[in-house]
Amino acid sequence: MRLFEYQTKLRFAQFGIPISDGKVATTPEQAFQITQELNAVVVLKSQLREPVHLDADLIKAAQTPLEAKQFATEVLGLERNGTRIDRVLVEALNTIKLEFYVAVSADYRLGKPVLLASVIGSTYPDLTEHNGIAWEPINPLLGIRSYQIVSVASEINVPREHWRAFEEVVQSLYRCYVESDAILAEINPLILTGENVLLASGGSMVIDEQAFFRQPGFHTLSDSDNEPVCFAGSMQGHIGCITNGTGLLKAVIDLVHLYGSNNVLPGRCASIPNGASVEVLTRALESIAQDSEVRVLIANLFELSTPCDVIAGRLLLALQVIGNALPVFVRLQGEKSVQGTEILMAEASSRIYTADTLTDLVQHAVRFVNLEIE
Amino acid sequence: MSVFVRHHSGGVIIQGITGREGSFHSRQMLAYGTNIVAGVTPGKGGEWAEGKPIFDTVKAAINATGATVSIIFVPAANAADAIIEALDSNIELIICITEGIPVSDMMRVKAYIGHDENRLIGPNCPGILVPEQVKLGTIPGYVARGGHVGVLTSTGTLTYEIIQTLSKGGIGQSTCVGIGSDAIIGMSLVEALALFEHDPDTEKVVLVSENTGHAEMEAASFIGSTMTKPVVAYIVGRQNLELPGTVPLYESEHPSKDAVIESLKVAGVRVAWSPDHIPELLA
Repeated sequence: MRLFEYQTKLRFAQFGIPISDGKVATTPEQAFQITQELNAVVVLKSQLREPVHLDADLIKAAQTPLEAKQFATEVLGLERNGTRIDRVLVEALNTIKLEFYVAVSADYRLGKPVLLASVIGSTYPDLTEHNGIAWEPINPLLGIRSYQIVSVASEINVPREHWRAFEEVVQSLYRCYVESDAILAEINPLILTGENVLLASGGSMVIDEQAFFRQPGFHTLSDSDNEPVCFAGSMQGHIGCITNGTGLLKAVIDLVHLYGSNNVLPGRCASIPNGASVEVLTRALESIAQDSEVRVLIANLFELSTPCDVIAGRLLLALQVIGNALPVFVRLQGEKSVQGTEILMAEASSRIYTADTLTDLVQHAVRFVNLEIE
Repeated sequence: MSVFVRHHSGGVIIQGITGREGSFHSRQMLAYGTNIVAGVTPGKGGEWAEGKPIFDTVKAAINATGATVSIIFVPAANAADAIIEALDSNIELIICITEGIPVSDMMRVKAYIGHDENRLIGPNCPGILVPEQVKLGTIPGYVARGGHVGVLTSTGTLTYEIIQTLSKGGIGQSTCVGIGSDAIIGMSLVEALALFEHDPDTEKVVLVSENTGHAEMEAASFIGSTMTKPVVAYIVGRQNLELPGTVPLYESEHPSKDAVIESLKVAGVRVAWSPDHIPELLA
């Protein structure tokens, strides 16, 4: 999960990384007051989870508290990518002599964290290429070695008189990364100000959701065993899919694409745990039913520990909750799969269909949708 | 005996035997005939579970039983510690079933295990099943039947679906191995393929993977250059689904699915477009 910039900066400060002077405003009046207190030209940054530094509408310099208040009025309450902007970070604007990008990121291919750094010139560094990016793998048992930071500083032309300060920033960033269970911690940009101070003018962090259970403040977001995992909310399509297992879900989605050609598309989908409760099934179904384009549901469940007749009962209850709104193409595999399927087919109030193979299941569902949309 | 479980003869211990997952799957394994000799749950040494003695530590369990395999069902918060404990005990093979281990924990395990990564299968994997012989993990026995096709997957539930499809198609399996769908795991696809290449019981291999990164490209390269046994592959995940916890970040050029499939074909692999297509390609 990506943190807001203001949250990232708070963490950076906790770990001793110098940051710009600033505060968060949730109202235009606060923006006014903060600007007054700072007694400086400020920059106002709308807070979204995606980095906004490239979006000119959402970030603006203000010369006076009144200008700050006006801009805050414009952006607070705006919707972007499905979320409301409810905070603006108000910071003293710094003069910039040099700008760098510095980050610690998990490299899944290497199986290690890596230190990344680059000068920021006229174009934003492309992180998928090695060109122009200084790069050092980090041994997670040893941490970043000093010589690695020297190597990077040299490669990106940090002025030598600032190498000591640069090393401190990088070591602090790494400690912040480790202790926050981050998979990305980036300072973007790290600036050398007109007063020759190195500070983090912008930044972002992504926290490993699998570590929420041990990160203060994230406990409530921790996935318990029974949280459904929903994917691809932007896939507006005709067929909603539920499986237990992400690999199985991907397989079903692939098949919908294959047999649907370009007419019938997968919509909102969910992967639920084995032996999911009625509550979890209901939540998953409700979420899928919210996709207004979805016409049918495919449920392909391969159960390990819970007999299929029990699962069938739970599925029927969950379908009732969503008002039996959608026809369901379901295939149950596991212990008592025959009994479970019989229970589903006997239910008169729902439109439930089944098939022996996954291929047949998807093909039937696609055919159904094709007939409907003709 | 399958090269994957030649160490099995020493007996199996279950770390986390008293938990919900551990107890359920231990019962299933015992019913299948797996030689489980003990469980490990710190603090419950001296007690019993599923008819087996529980020990406080892996070392104590090995001293008492001579076990050579450990299967870990310990919950995510402590699973990495459990893996390290097993590594330190010098037990030959570790299979970690646990899902949801924090990325940084697995990076530390990976750094610690060094070149011995073949000692660990998983985490977040269904384990090993040698049909009609031994079950080391969560793969349901009833989907499998004995035969000569090796099944290698880096996925979870889809593994069961694939094995069942093969069995229904009259195609028996030599050994079924799921190495796990996490980004950071012990044994890799290449290492598992190498074992299948040397397994006298295996004539052909089915490879099933979620297109997660470079592992499939390396597998393709290995198959083309080194393997003599025919391979049929099924790769899922055409679409760019965002999974929580694996934000696509800096990575040395994540290969596209088309690139992966192309590499596999160049290596002589037949690529299936659905689970039901696999039996046809094995003929």
